[in-house]
Amino acid sequence: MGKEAYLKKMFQAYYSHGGLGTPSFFNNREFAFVQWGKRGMFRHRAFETDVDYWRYMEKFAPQHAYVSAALYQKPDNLDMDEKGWLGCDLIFDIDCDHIPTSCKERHDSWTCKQCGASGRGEHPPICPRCQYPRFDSFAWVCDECLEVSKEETIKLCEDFLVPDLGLSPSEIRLVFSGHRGYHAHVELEDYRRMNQEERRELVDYIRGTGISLNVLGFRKMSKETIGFSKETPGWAGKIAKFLEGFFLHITEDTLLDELKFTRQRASSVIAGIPEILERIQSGNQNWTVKGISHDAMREIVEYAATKIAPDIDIPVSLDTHRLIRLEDSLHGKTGFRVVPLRANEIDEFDPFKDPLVFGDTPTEVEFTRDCPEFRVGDEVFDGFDAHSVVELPASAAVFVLCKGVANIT
Amino acid sequence: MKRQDAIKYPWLPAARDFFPQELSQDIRTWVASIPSKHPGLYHLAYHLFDSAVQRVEVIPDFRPNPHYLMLYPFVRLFLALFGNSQLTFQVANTYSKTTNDMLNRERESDILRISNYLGWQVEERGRIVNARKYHFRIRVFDYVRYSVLMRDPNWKLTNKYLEGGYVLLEKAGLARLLEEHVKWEIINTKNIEADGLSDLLRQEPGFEEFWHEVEELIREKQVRFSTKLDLEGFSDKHALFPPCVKVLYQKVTRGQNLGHLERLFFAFFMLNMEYTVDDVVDLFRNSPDFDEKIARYQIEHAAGMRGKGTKYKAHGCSKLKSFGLCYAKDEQFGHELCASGKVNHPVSFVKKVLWLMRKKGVGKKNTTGPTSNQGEACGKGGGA
Repeated sequence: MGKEAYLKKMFQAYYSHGGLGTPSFFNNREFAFVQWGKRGMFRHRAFETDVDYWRYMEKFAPQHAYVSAALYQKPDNLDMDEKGWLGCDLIFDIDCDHIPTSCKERHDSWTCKQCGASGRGEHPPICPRCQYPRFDSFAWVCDECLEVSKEETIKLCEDFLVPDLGLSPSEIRLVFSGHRGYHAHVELEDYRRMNQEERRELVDYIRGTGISLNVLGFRKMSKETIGFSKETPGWAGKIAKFLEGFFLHITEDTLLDELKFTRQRASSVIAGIPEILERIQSGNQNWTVKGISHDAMREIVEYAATKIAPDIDIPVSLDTHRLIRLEDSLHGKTGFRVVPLRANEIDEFDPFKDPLVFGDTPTEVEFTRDCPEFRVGDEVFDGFDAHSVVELPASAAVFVLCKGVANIT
Repeated sequence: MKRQDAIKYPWLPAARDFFPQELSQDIRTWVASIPSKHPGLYHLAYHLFDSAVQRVEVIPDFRPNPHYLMLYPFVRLFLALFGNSQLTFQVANTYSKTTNDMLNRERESDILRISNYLGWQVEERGRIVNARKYHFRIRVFDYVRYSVLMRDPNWKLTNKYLEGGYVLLEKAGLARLLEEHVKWEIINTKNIEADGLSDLLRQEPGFEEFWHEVEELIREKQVRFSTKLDLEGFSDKHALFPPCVKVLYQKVTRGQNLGHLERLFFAFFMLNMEYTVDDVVDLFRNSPDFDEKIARYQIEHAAGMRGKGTKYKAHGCSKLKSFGLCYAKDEQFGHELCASGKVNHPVSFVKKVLWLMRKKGVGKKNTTGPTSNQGEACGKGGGA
């Protein structure tokens, strides 16, 4: 049996158990699928009943399954303009693919398509040997990648969606995407009606885009630097809170490496830390302290703003016709379940354990290329060399097959 | 709703209750009754249009009277029929700013009542932040509906005090949002409202004369700005590119791949700059994944030669900033015109630079070929 036939059979076995959750406004959403062994996406599907939907999933067991974040009068109309747009859930996508992490140097690699030069981590814009700009890339996903995604998701919820947008945790539906990250869905009608420009304003707020320190109140007044109070709502308060932690833990190296301060300027700032810390903690907005000039403080504040924003994938939130992973479906690149979560469950959620559905039946696979270390369930597997034949628990076997590094024997 | 509110603020949905019955039941009957029932309306409308084309922002003697109630629907109807977008914008501007002036004279409780009539979720708050009193708070989705239309960084949500789903606002801020609402209500009046009414109106005594008076007013007083990009005399269009395009231009000519959004923006911009489809296809020819058939199809689509015939406009600065494609302050490509925030669209940048260069006598019409000064326009800190 070929790899795809095996995976389709495994996916079918999962879908035959039924019990898939159905999205809200089920009849108003467009469904889309990528089928095993077929190119392109099959779009514009709609289902009248959940039974029809379950039967479809069992019959076709798609490699990838999506549902529209948008609601339509006629979700199965082939013409987007004729679908009758009714609104679109507000979606935030956090994907470790976009976030620089040190683990990428360990498990990702690239090869130049022209000269064959290769390297670790993300590929450079052009080949350092022949300047050709196209590469074959290999990207892996590990605990560190998904931990960063989780931290960013928590930051999004706890620092922005709840305190600033006023959403209660029950109004934020989190979903583990089944691969590299998490989605946050807001399904409230007032947000659903927002157009792209209005969504962009929310996204800009969350990313800190267009921030004006002057408008927020950071300024020089009669040789004094006026800063922010932790109690101030919005970005001003966030910056003050961040700086409290920053000045508590800062080292001269941070100022040299990340802010590119000269050694003399960095030493001077370090000397001023006790005083500035005391002022921030006591809510004193006069941030004029010996050792930290107004310009240095401005640069530190600008740096703070870049560190506070969660790393969301912007186009996803702006798109009012977005197709998004269907909850409870299986991700074709891992075989992991797309898991809906309540906001208070994410802390405890284990993305390499909780979405597993295939059990531990021993399954033999042959690696077709070198495979980095990975964890599935409680078991950590050391890397495997190309051509090695090994027996793995079914969930781990499906994972390496879906990741494209092995074949079924 | 009080009648006085309806007379002052006829754009409130509830003001319809105070319109003559004919208007709510049958607009055609109402239109036919304008001259007989509201003889002062033409005079009031002319006063508004005259002030608008003279760029008067607040009409000082524009005091609410019963005609004022009827003026609003009449003006919207007339502008929809007249079909001059520049006049529509100017009238919308003057009318809404005059409204703002009235709103600012109201007490806090009155302005709160007016915004609630619109269904906005506004509450009285009285919160003091940084020694300023914020009388109101408004739900964030009601706020951004209008704040996105304003360019000033003071209105950017990032720079507002936002908590619990509400934006803190001072009285003047709430009046300003209401002003924006009124302005866009007038601008967005659908032509459909005027369907079939044109002939009916034209039969009414006085209407034809009024129409001609407005035409005359525009001819006499309105300064016309060409919205077309006039590149005559500039063969080196590259010299006019804003930083965001220069970056992409360099990437493309070096054979680097552009991201999806970069590619779209670059193609839209080049077409807006009057490059032909062939020119744009040629630019992409160096791309490593270039496929002429696909590229040509997509560029022809963007140029409005395929699909529904829509010619796409290049993305604006705010969108480019969101996508991280703005290089206003870039060390190599940055330009002070962009960094100053005085332009909100890459094509506006080109128009402004063109204007500045022509003022300096560079690239004057009837000159042939590029002049030696052209390249200076877009260098960092140059041109302006």
